[in-house]
Amino acid sequence: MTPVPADGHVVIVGGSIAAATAARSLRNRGHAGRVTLISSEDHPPYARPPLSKAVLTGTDVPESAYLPELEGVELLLGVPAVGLDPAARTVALADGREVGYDGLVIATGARARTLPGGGDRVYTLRDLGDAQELGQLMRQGARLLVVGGGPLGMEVASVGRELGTEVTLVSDTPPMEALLGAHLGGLLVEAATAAGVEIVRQPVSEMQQDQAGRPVAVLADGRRVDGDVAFVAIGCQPNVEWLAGSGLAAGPRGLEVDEYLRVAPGIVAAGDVVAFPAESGCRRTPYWQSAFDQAVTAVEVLLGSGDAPHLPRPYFWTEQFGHHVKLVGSVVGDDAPEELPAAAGTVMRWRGSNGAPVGAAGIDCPLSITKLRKLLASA
Amino acid sequence: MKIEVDYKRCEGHGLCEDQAPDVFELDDEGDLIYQFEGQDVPAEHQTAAARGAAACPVAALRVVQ
Repeated sequence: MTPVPADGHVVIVGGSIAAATAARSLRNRGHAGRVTLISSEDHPPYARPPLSKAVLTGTDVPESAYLPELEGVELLLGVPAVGLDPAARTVALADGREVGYDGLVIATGARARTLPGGGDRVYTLRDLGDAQELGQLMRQGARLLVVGGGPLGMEVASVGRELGTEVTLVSDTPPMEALLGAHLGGLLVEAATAAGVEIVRQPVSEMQQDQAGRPVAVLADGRRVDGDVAFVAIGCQPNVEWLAGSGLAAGPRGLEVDEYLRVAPGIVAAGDVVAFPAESGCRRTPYWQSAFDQAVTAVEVLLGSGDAPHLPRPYFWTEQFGHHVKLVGSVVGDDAPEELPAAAGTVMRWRGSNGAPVGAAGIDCPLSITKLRKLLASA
Repeated sequence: MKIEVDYKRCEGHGLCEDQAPDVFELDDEGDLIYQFEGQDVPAEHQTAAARGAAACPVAALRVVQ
């Protein structure tokens, strides 16, 4: 890819960690040209992890999630990008404006997947407004029906119990198992149950609304579970619709990139929108560390200042039911992990079929990522 | 340039240490040791320090001029 000229205009579309990191990296690498960040949200770029934690409980104000201010970056906030013409090198905005670029970073992220039906008391959690609204209802004591047993569903269920609300969680698969495996996932399910969450293991076939306007989940076995409010956390889908007609390889699975995060001449991508090449085809890795690392590499590639491909370094964490879990690498299916000595809490390690360590987790254990990663390098 | 650390927010993930090991360090208890507490960040460490601050997933590090 021909590098963006030193005085070229770089446009970044997106408003969270990937977009902000790309903007900062451009300046850190001494790019002298204009940098414009276009976000559909009214807030400057902010961190999403606190949304299911301190912002939801109301402990922290929304502004506390703002990422460090970007210097020398023009922010176009509250204007969604609605189209891209790679040949003319222009981005079309919802207000009719067109913004030309020499280099483009696509970091439009993902949005919550939704279930149809259930009325207007069904919530998802993706932006600051969602967190404020849902948090307020939960603090008022609304009984909570959670659909989805992934990290977000479990974190919100945990906050609900912390705030003293009744929580029922419906999940078709064992909560947390997909990410943390049966062993560690099972420990969190035990903690959730002990905290008073009623867990119902059934697929939801449809969402309805009862006569009082309350949301009701109709389960595959015919049972009905209701709540004063429902919170649906069944994954996210990439924001690629604005790329329709651009000719880029974007679809429901994400925006396909190569291992250098290149999309087309003058265009790179980073973050939750990206489908990155893996053994089983391109797939998304919607995690903080991926978004951050991809943004740094994407900018190097755009400027022609680096020649290293993006190397995924999976890191995932969650806080729920009094436990803080950090995972580097990945777990191995149903295998029981080995437990390693730890000064506090528990450290677990998983080995792949060839015996090499593939994942390490700290549970209520203060080891940082760097130290957890060392457990994958050694032994 | 200064960096303000909100130690109450810090959860000890260590993305700052990963980005800027000469500036941020997490000890075995998971407590953050920031090398330039209360001082200006020396010029040669400013880029790394800003990168480390920006990597924080819980917004516990703020860059102030």
